[in-house]
Amino acid sequence: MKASAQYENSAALFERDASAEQIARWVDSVRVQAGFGESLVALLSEQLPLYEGRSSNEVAHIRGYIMAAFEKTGLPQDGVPLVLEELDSGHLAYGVGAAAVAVRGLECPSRQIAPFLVQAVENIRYLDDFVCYDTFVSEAPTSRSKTALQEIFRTFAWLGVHGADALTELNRLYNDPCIVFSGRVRAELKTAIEAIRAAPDADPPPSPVSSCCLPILTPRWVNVLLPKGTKGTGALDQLLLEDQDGNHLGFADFFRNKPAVVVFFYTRCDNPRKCSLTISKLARLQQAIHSRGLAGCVKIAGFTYDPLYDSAARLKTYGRDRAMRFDEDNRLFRTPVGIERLREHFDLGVGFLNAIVNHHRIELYVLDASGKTVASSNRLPWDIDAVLDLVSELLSTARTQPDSADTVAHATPILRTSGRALLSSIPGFLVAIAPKCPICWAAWLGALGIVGWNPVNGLQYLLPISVGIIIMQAIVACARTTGRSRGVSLILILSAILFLFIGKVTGATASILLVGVGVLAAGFFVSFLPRKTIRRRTGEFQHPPSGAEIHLPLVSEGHEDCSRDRTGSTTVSAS
Amino acid sequence: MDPSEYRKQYEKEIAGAAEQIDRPALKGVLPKVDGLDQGPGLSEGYSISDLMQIATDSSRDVAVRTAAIEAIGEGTIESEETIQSLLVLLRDRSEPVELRRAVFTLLKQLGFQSKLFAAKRAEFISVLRELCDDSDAEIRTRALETLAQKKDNFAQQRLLEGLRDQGKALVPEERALQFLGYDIHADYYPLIREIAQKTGNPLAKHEAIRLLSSDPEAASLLVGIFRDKGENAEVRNACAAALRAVAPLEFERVARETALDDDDSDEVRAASITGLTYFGNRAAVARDNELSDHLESIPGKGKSKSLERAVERYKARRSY
Repeated sequence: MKASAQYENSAALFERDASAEQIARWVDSVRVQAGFGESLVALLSEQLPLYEGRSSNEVAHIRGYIMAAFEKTGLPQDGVPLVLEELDSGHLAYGVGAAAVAVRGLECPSRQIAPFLVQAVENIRYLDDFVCYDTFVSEAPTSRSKTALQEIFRTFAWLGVHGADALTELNRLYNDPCIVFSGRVRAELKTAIEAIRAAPDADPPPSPVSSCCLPILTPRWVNVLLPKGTKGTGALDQLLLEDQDGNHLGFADFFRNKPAVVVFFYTRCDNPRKCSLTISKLARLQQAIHSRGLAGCVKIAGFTYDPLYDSAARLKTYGRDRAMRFDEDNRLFRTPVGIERLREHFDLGVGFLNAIVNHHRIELYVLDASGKTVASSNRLPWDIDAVLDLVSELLSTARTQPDSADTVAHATPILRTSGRALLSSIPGFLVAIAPKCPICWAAWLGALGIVGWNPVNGLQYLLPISVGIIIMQAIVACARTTGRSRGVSLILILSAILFLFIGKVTGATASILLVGVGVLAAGFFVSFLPRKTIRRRTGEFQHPPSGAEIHLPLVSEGHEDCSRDRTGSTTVSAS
Repeated sequence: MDPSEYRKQYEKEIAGAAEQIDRPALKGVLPKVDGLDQGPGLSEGYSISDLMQIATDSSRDVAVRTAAIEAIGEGTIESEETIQSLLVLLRDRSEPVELRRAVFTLLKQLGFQSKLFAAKRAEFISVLRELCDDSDAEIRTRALETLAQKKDNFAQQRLLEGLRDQGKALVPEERALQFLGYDIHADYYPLIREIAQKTGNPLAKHEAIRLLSSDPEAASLLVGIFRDKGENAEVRNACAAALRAVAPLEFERVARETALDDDDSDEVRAASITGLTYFGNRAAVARDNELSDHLESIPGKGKSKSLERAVERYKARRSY
């Protein structure tokens, strides 16, 4: 994330040798002034020099202190994803508590926050600690301070009616005898429940409405970068990669000809809701791709932030332990040299203590078949279906653009598959129509004019019977097909019926009847083609005008009740 | 002093200290309470609140109070106040050390046993931080260790201060290193590298080298220590293990050199050969005729049994 030019100076104020106390003093000086929220946001980027060389604890402490200051300065739009990220995946009481405090800096409450607060409770339920954000002190806070859980429940109380979605869960936390909170935390929880119940509008708005702070809820999509935001991989093409089996290849060797999904992780991450979950979800994405019949059309890749330590063997064990499947298109990579180029290209949100990661965000990137980054999902957990739909869209787009080399690359396997299906259906068709009994023989001979039909009784029913059989076969053909295939098949069959009807009624030449028969046969052939499993959901994905930014739906990992319905959005830049 | 000798001496001291502690059986120690039968445990009539009353009664004998604390562990605590009372006892430095140690043990036990304990975690952590500079070394050490296991920043800073300035050391150097090692994301690698090179404490050196198994930038340092034939064999073997973790190819190279060096220590050669046997690249090991031929000549040359056994295992593995 990049701060606007007006506030970039705050990030440049501190170099890596700045002491934590120096930074804290600056935060103290700005937090009493209005309008400095953006400059605080700029200080939260993981890759800033001021975080380099610090321990994870120190980074968490600094970031938490900055975040808590939003309560006083106000929480700007750009800061919302950072705060929600901490609530959703933070595992340290100090940081999670700070994020809960930061939420109270929003101009007004929003119901979209509630699910994230519920997740935050779950994250630190057994890791609660006293926290103090009034001063940045090296001494630990004492029992005179509040705990992180207390801060979360205070924020629930602040939400008021906008926390109603979480009321069921809060009541469960309060009443379940197996869940035990300390007396002070229970008191805060009770206050929150009462505050929500006592709010003027007891029922929350039936559908999400745009609040003054957060944009409208949208379906669970990843961020989509616009054409001007895409980045080619020229600088990375020669980057040497090593996969989990020790095979070496160039970046361009792997990231070409098929769209790709790329995530970042490292095996020594101690936050279960970040790297471990990312790779586990990558394995589930693989299964989903396979279920949709897209296996072989999409590449899946994970890069380690920590190539010095994460050897090929470690990558393989890590992926396998999380059910990842490895093959030509599905790999985990380390970069023996040149990790800096990778960091620069993707603008990775990661900081380092020497060679060890001290803090990082969750990040996923979708690349098109030429290796360009076309979408990203940062900070909040990405949705598997959303990623899959985006990849399907890329594949479909490639198929409908015949001039594109990528389209040809995609079209070839599909044509090959369809052609095979077509050819394989011909023998069956011939067997079906070939005469196999005396009646069929008589019919064919009569049709050819060799024998007459006149002595046959009931010939007047031949036409309606034929029409009935055609209609029955049309129903069967449509039942076998889905999506576009069904539409095409139905249109052809109905057209054929029309041709035959016109031909018979008007007594037109046999050629009209033959055309009808031909179109009818084509309709049945279409129904033999492989089922199209790429679904085009019209209306759910809207291409925004070029140059605009998209309101992102924010996704958080699910729990029961309100947690599962957790979505949100914010305005985010392309990075 | 050789680290293994030092360790044996330390173990003897611990065992000796344990024998000196008088641990009277519960029976016959706890006073009779009217209407309750005295017995070995709670099933015989003592409630948790009875035992807490005895434990917090400063007029009673320390042994009785300690026995009461130990007996509480046999029951189920159903009150947050009980845990709070235990925390107060632990924190109170005017209370007898034996009692406070028993309370500490009980609280650690409750961390596994009692669902109520999670509710008091914040208070427990706060008390542990206060105990980091306790006058009793055992309580101080246990507090720091418990906090370090939770990757507590406060404890890490205290431990690092003690490593940089002996005057502020709260625990022995090797224990401080061990505790810091619970969190690989702590900022201590430059200090650890310095300790690994300069410390005169063999246990601390051993521990520092163990921690460097998480530091890829320490590979060259580890190679240097490993190659030093004047260095203690245990320390050199610790280097080999750490090197294998951070730079497997480098480990294979130096282990091979050592395996071929007839002038090197048998113990280190045996460890190197074993490392190559089980953790080396199998294809490379299978192709390495020079090493194999050299090792063939070892048996029967008066070398140590451990070296000969290592060679046998190597040959057996190579033949798979």
